[in-house]
Amino acid sequence: MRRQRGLVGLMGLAALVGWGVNARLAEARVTTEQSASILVFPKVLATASRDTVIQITNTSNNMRHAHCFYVDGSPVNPDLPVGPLNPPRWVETDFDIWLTRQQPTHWVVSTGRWDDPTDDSCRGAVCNPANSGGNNGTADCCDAGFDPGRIPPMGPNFTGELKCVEVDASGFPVPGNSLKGEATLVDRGNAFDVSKYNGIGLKGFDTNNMDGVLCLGGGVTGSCPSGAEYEACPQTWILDTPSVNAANPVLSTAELGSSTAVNLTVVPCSQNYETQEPTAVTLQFAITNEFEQTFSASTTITCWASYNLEEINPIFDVTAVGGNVLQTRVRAAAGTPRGIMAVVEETVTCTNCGPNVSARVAHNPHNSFADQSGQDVIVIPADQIQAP
Amino acid sequence: MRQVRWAGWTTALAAALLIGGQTRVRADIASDKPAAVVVYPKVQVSGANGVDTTIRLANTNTTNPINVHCYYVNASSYCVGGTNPGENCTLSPTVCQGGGVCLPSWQETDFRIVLTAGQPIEWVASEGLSDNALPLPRGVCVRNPTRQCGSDADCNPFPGGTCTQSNAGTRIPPVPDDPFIGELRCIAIDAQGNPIPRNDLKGEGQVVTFPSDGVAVLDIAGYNAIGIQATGQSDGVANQLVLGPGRSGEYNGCPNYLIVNHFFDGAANPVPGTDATINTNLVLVPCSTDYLRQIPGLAVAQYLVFNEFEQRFSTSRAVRCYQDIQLSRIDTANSARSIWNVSVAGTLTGQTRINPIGVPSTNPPSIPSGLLGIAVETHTASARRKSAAFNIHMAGDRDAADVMIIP
Repeated sequence: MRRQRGLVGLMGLAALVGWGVNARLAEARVTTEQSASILVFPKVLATASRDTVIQITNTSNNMRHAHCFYVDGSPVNPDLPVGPLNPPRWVETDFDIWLTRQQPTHWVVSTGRWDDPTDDSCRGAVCNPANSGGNNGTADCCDAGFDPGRIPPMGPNFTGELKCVEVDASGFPVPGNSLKGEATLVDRGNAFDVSKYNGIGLKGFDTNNMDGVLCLGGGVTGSCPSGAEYEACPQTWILDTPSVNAANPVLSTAELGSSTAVNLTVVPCSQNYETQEPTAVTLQFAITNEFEQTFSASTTITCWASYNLEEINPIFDVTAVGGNVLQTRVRAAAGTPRGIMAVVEETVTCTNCGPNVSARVAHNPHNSFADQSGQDVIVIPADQIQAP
Repeated sequence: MRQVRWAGWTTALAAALLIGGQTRVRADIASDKPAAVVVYPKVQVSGANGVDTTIRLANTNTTNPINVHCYYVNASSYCVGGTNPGENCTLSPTVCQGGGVCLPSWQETDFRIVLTAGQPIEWVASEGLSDNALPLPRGVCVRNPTRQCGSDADCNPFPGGTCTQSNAGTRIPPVPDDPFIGELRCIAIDAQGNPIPRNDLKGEGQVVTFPSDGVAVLDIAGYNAIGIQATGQSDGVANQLVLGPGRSGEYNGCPNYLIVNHFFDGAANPVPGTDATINTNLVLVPCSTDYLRQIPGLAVAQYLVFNEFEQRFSTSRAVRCYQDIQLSRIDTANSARSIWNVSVAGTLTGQTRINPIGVPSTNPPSIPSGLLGIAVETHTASARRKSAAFNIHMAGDRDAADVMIIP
């Protein structure tokens, strides 16, 4: 009888374990289309030639707060490529935003947004972009609306990411799942182009213990006594892209010459804003062309990286890979079990349409069903977890 | 006794796996995860204006090939009555003469695709893809590589021989008209043509405006196809795909809300050094559709619009079959007075929440439906025009199921 009771108990325990696993699996994963508690914009630029407009919305019916971090991944010498003697800056700048219920907001990264209640309404007024963010000391329709807080300007050579973490009014991280956002990359001047992608969201769980260690996936550990507080980063990102220098099929049909550049921007999911210690991740690329031929490549990123695919490996070039369209699966190598966030931007150039005839298009890659096996952790300095 | 204890452990483990594994097939409607049904809401072709669409479709399963059944839905407009009935008036309603009126159509054209393991393909909507343009038009027999094949049966008289994976069986037609506006929907099927719950498809659409008539402009608006994931459940009716409600159907249900972050129409691009004006088009397609009886879905879209002052506006408009419309044309023909106009809203950006209310109708026949969609943001400065498409957010589950009926 005792043995039977033990077996029944064992079965019950197993069922609970199964249910727990099931409940964990049934949670949504990293998303680009649902409101979340952490928003990541992997590619944010504020340079002489390009700028970025950030749009963030509170999708809930209550006031929400977020603590945001810019991470500058530009090299120390912006005129030279990143290398051992020219590492990325890895400098973070943080600020807070407040959003009333259902409130959308926006700002230009190079100008930020001044907290100025005297901004003109856009009724009868026109936004002069030169005055964006309170530039020139002028209140303008460009910033009409409830200002979400003082958002610092970045630049003039900012290339990096923006990450916003939903917090409560006291500054503690909370799983409100109320934030969504988009980034619009804008070419200034004659280049005049736009591309747009959705911010990548990580949903929060009720297990959040509201400390400065944000646990993305994984189980109970010393630094994560509550286990996963947010969704895990995906194990694999799946990119459908043209191969580098491939002709655009529409332009080919119109008998126009063209070539394509593909840029991949990647940031590690794990970040320690307290020690400012950059995280290194080795990425592995498994490439399949339309002829079912497979190739592979790998590279290591630290902090933030934005590569043209041919800089990772020449295999991405159309002449090397032998196909025009590729499916590439990107994942962190087993030795560096860290998740990543990614966004892709393609640039198509018409080669016989006159000078500078090109177009950009950004898109969010797909992610796999499986979560990253390891645990990623974002550490926020303790003195930042307090009411602003 | 030891055997009994071992059996107990086994039973317990099996129970854990059974309970834990029940929802391993996780369903969702999302444009960032592979799915069993992929929807491209905007496919556009206009040879006269230099517009065409690139479709990318990939099998994310790196082991098994997949069969796909695709449907182009032609929502172009045609003249009815008058002196030139049937003439395509998509670009200009004034084409219709002699009292004829220009009305949107709804007609589907379907075709099949076979994708090998892990294979991505792309095609141009105005051209299609077939024969030797296919990446792998034929396979070869494993035991006789000099012999081409489309299936294992073709490898006879080499008993037991198998044919390598290929695109044999694929013929993608061009879109049925030029100009063309409409959607593309692709469903994972088995070899017999029955829908199967394999969440292995992903895709992207790119609407390309290319230089024509001496105008050196190149513009690309790209978006991810919207994926509808299968749950693994079945209602036993092979040609009827039940979406929801929630996750209780064969496929995940359509969202209760679509949420769009956008610039209000007529807003200036706030980036210093630019002089563009921004407008946004909203493209919506019904979730429900009856390809068998050629009956489209119908929903009344209820719009809630919030500006940056937390001020709220609302309006509603029916969506039958297809809608591709500038935001400030949804509620009025005079866009300067629209709630989506920047001078009416008072701020540069806003949030629009769209709640589709499925409505049955017999005249014209329609089935109640939820909605899916994308947005296309256009920046215009003097003669220059650039656009960016993006996937809109989704929230909640509709109470009612949506249904896709295929022939």
